[in-house]
Amino acid sequence: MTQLIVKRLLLLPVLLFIFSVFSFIIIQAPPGDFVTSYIAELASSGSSMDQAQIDALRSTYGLDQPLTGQYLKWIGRILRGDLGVSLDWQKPIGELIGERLGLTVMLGLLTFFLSWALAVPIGIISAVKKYTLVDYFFTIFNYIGIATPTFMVALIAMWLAFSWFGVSVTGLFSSEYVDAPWSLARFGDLMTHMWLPVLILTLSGTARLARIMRANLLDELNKPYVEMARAKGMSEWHLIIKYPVRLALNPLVSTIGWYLPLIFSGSLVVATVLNLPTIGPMLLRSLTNQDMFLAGAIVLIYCLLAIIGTLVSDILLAWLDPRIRMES
Amino acid sequence: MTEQKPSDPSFGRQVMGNLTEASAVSYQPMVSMDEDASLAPPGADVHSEDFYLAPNWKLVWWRFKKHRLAVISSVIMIIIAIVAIVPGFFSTQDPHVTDALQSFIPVQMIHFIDDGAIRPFVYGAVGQRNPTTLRVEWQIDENVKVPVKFFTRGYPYEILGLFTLDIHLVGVDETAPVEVDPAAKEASAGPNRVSTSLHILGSDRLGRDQWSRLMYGTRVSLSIGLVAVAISTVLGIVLGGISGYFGGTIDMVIQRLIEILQSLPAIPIWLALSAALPRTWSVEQTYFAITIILALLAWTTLAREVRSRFITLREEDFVVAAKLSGCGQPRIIFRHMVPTFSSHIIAAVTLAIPVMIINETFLSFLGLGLRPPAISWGVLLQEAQNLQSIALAPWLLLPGLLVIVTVLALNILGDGLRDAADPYTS
Amino acid sequence: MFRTLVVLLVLIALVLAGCGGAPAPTAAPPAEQPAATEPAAAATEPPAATEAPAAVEPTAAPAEPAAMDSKYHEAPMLAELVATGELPTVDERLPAEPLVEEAAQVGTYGGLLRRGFLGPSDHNNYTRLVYDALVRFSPDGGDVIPHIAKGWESNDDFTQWTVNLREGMKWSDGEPFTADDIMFWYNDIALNTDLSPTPPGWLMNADGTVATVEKVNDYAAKWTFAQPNTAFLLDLANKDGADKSITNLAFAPAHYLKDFHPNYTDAAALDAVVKERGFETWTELFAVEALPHLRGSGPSTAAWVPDNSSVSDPVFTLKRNPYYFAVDQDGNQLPYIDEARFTFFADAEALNLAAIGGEIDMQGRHIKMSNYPVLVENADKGGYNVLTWPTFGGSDAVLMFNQTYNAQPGVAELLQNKDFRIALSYAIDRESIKELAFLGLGQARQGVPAPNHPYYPGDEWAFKYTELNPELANQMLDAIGLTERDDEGFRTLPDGSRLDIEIQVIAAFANWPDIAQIIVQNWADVGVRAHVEIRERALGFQMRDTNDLMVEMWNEDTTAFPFSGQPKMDPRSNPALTFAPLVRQWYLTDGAEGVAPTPEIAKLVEIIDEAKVSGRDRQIELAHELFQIWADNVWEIGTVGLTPMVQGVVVVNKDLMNVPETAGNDWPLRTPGNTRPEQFFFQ
Repeated sequence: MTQLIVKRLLLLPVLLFIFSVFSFIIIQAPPGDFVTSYIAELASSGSSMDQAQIDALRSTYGLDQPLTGQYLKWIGRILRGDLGVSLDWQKPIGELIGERLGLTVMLGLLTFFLSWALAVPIGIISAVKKYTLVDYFFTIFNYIGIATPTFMVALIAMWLAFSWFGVSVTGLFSSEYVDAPWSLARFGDLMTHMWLPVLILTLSGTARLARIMRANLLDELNKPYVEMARAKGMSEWHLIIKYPVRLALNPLVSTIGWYLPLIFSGSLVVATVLNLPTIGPMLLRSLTNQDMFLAGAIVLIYCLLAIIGTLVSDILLAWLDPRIRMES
Repeated sequence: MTEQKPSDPSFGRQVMGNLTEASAVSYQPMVSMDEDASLAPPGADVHSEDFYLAPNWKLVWWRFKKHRLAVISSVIMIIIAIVAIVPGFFSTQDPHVTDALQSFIPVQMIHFIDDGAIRPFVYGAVGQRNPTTLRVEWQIDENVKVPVKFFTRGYPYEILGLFTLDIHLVGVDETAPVEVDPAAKEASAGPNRVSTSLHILGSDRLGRDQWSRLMYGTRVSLSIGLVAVAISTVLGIVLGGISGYFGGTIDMVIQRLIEILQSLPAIPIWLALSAALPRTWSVEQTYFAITIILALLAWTTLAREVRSRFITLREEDFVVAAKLSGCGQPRIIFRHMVPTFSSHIIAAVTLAIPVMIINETFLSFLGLGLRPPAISWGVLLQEAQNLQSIALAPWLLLPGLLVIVTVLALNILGDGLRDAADPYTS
Repeated sequence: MFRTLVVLLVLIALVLAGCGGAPAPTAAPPAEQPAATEPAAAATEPPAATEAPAAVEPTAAPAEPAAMDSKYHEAPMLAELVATGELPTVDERLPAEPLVEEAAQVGTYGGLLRRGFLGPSDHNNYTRLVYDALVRFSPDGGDVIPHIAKGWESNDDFTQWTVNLREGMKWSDGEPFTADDIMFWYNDIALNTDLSPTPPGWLMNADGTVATVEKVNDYAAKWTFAQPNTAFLLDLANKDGADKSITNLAFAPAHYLKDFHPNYTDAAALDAVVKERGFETWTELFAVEALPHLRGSGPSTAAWVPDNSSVSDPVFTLKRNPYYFAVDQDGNQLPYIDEARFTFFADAEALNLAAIGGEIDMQGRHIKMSNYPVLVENADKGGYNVLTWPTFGGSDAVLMFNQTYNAQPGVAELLQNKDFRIALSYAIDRESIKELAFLGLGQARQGVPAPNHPYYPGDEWAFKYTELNPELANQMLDAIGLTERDDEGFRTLPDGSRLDIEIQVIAAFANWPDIAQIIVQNWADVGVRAHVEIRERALGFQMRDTNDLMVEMWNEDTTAFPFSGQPKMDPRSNPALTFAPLVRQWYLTDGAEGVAPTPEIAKLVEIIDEAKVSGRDRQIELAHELFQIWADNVWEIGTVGLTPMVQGVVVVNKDLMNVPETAGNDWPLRTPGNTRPEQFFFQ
């Protein structure tokens, strides 16, 4: 157990190094640099720059230096805990991401809790009331939840809101609260915007979880110990909750670690469609603008979370399953 | 270590959706529709000799047939596959042809009964540009009935690049003379617009027929899914097989590779990779590259599964026997081992296709996948994702329905196949 | 009682203004504006007294008794500060001779102007709103008028230009604005090689040296060029200091910036600040500190100044500059509106949605022309009007034919063949394009200025080769030897090889990809195969530079400014034009690299160079000649022009007044800056 964790932890810096090089390369891969894409953006809004201005920009940002130099400079800063300054936003990246981090985490956590709160009961009911109307209803719900791309749901929601109520459902704040300091009113405003993306994201999450929960529980319900308990006269619900449900939950719980990166990246598409001020759209924008430091930082954070997520999952699994614990 | 785990942790990755939040359906079985389904052929006597003598595939088929939803799904998928093979036959117009005076025609209903007789037709439509809002407004003109014909001639199209045909499933007779009330032409800003053609799903901003575009998009999206899954399946089986069969250092290397790939947060990596695709590439090259990108990130789960099967199988008697009879390793792997779980692979592949389809849709939707003039479901949806379309032409969102139906059908089909795949176990 | 007093005061102010209490800005000698066009001169500055009386209903007249003695009035929020002693009185804040801007309607103070922006790279949104330059283009774009500068004069051969500043004018922090601020920009920014590796293009003499700038006195600075420069004012009107790079300035707050410049401050101390702010070099820090929209506070001369927020923030707020140097005809210090606020939107669609919801008070930027119907349909609900400001001439979707393309010699030869281009122009169905992409607005035309502009070469040239005539196109194509066809029915090159023209489209404006697809179809009808390649912006621009493009779709704006900035007819312009990238290289390297221009292209350059040193009448002649050559050679095939495609669909709050029904609309004019947003007010 400890050996496993230590091994994983030792692997971490190696993986991070690989990922940092990897993210830097893929971000540099598109032709041109930030200044090229900036000039293009200017021209696309009808303005232009002369060569002197362009030269000045490149030299200000150090884009006229060789790639390896740029990488070393970047990674050097990151090792010092400094994510650098975004070319596009002209702001420290830590500050930029920080602003959006809270909202992203909140969205992720709300979705997480809501989908678990819905999925576990649905899975249990479906399994216990197998082949009843309720089960079929949830089965169909699950299939649809899985089959519908979330951005489709978001698009349709936008269209319905627009055509029925003539309102836009984009963003997370009303205009008067965008920049306001935190207050109860601002939180209330956030909640009036947050429910829709949470609902959309919950739809698919719930469907998937409920499907697994049902399958796992069915496996358990077929096992002899359940018959045994039943024969001993235990009340049905008490029995189900006490033993099979707990066992059926084990594999699910062990996957919680995998939610860690998803909390950050899971909402990317929906956030893009609904114009949410979360990290996902910022990554997308930094990639198209070739704002390499920002994109690199976000990708690196995602990687880190993914690695930690795997670790957490492995540990959870080992902890929940005595057989694995015994092995190491 | 991880390999001996009865419950593979990679399971979690699939559950939580390694790729997109929309698409975590993956290689592994998740739920069975018919856990209790008997092995017996439908209606057959369980003890009949047929049952015991039947070959494996027959048992699978019998069992599959019992899963009614899956059967329906397979019919749907066959239809969609036929569309993908000959989109030209199903479309009514050339999907690339634009017509300035046919833009934003709403969905046209085909009416089947005309004056009590079965005589399919659509109403003509007259369009005018509103002088204030500059919006083109279409009005149905019930005086004009355009007869709809089946197996009619239309624009020529190629079938799989082999030969050219001009027969279409449905269409209107372009030469049919249609009179439009001249009074209806009045009071229009700009030129008059008259539609006497068939737009089952309406037309887009360039006057292109949305239905026909959907047919062609089906080909692209479906084939991307198939090709990507094919590549990742091959990769998964080969690498997983090698890893499981040989073990040792090579197993270690492949396992670490899988771990790294799985640790990569798919969405951003994927976005970055697509953004990094040389944009000098043609539409076809991009198409191919995207398929490969999809495949390269998707093989790991199958590889893990295949590996664990190999680990169990390599100690089995029949493998040892094959080894002792002097079979070459490739023969042992592909002749003896792989067939024992081929039905699982088929099921897994079926479940992987919808993931790929959604992934393509998602990439193109973000503008990082295919670009117009290529047509795919993602491109169609991307073109519908703007205020103009949502407010003025919501029918452009309809291709999304086909995405849902396809993914649904493939999922149910995959579940059905998987349940049927193990005829000897219950 | 109060009311009569107010009227009386206003009348006095009017009389004063009318009598020349403040010199009318147009008093500047016309001879010194050789490049500017005349027609606007009369319209922009009508006699003060004629217009205003009807409009006199100032609700926010001077509230403070103290201000009554003054001929100037100020916003209530400033009056409060004056009363508490936090601000000097309005008389002390205004320069001795403030700029008098005639308002169509004398406004009332207060309110918040809401706009949307797309993040830091959208800083021009702010630049254009405040249009903070020494001299400005007039609202209709026909004239250069004084702004920060009180006036200017030049010597007879236009080699020396003296710009006169306003005595007593102050930065928004109350510090005096003098010629030292121009000298600081010149010596310490423009000529500092760390900050400006190459000196700004507009300061470059023909012989490669840099023009000199000298301080004449505290309120005048003199530019000296090695050759006559009649484009000086046009250039000056576009130096507004809110660019991403600091080289576009023509003045800078010396008193503030000296703290960040190693010439004036201790290197170690500066280094510490650089490190503390997270930068690597002092230039990075300086680049932020020099620009109000990045720095987020500090001195500025604009009507509104950043209120502790920058373009990197989700909400970028500007508040009124208490020291703004302009007043209306009644002596009310401008701007009327207290605050301007830019709200961040992740994409233009979301911004358009907000406009429909009535969350935007005045904006044309990022409002998509294709959304016009949705906007108009929801105008009453959203409480706004929708104006259209057509582009300032040109054509809104042109096909630029690369004259130096060399990857496929056969194709290159065709692209250089004038008859080929003419035939393709005749093949284009411009009416369809108008209907599909421009909502039926605009007219079929080549890329020449608008008919009301003095540079307009005449209908003959504007509409040359624009009628749809496939027969003629076919004949011409046959005549140039493209008679062979392949099995798909498309013409092949004379040697029988495949002809496929690539049209690059960058989805910048309107529905360019759609237009390109229509053109591909039109050309197919005359047997010419072409295909559309939609490219991501940065890549597309890079491929221009590297001469990889055959044909590109872009727009032909700035036709009214062929002799300044980066005109589309000048092969030397930046960013490189698809029209002739290698000719650009040839000029930049003095003929060492690249491809020598054809006589026709060389003629364009010759005309432009001559115009830059010529007087106004000669410039008009030259412009006519330029556009005749331009239209006749169809290096660029024009399609449809004079539509409101570029920032021309303007959403205006129903209660916002003084927004003109029509205005010159182009980047050099900094629209809407040229329409004087400082005079907008809420009813």
